[in-house]
Amino acid sequence: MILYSIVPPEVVFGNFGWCENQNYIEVNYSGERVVVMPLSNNRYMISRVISTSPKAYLNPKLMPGNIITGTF
Amino acid sequence: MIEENKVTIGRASVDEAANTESEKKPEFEEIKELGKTSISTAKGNIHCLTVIGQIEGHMVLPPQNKTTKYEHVIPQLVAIEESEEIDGLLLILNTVGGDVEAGLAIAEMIASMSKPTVSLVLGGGHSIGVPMAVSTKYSFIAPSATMTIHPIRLNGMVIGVPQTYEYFDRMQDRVVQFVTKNSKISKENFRELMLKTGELANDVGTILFGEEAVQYGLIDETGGLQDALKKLYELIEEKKRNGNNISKGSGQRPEGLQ
Repeated sequence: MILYSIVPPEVVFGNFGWCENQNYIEVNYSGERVVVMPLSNNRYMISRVISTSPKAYLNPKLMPGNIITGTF
Repeated sequence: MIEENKVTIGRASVDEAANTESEKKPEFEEIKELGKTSISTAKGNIHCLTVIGQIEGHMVLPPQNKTTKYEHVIPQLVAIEESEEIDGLLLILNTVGGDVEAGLAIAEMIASMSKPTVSLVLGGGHSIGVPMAVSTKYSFIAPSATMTIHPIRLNGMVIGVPQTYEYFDRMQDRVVQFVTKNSKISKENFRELMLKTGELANDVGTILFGEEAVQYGLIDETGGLQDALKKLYELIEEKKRNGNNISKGSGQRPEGLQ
């Protein structure tokens, strides 16, 4: 990966290795498979959508960073 | 007496309102119906795609970065291209750059779309944000926005300097070729801006302000949201009149492509 950015790499990659502590889980939400990051109190943050339907990516409910609630 | 008056006045006004409402109802519906049809034919539905922070490619960046995810944007672009309800795409850019491959991939996707596309650079469209800004059929930049053009850098220890230099030069060439293909700037001018000294403290390169970016031919026009939307609706209108041919698109190739 070649970074082409005005932000220095040490700033971009600072705190690297954070992902080791994160436990992402894959769940079904609104009929689509999404990878979420558990927060607390049944709250999850959407990290990415796994779908072959392009329409799923236009669904505002499934945007990365969205916080969803529910039990999975 | 006063109270009675009030009541009568009140009642009268209510009755009047009810009357006018019932009288106007069919007319309202007509306006609504007509308005609805005229809006969807004359102006069209647009989709707004905002690109902020870092363009994230093969690596998930640490959480202090705001990122635009490649694997999310690409299917979105496919959906926009395929959707019958969406007539045009407005690309809002405020990005500090990011992954070269991911940025170029998104830019190529946008450049090869058949639907009208307009970009608006607000705040900044730096590094890999430059090819993304020029990828649309028409581009705008806010007068206060800036674009940083600089070479692709490498940090850390380098083994095999000549080869690495050659490799980075070729990587950079991809950016130069894309930008010159999709905007009015010449290859020489763009390279000159990229390698200019004395403007950036710890790097070579140039910071272009809104107006300067237009003068160099990198961006088509300075403007804001209103101008961008107006142009997009114009392009939609033009496309509807001419069928599927729009002036600038993937089919266009530069004469001097090396």
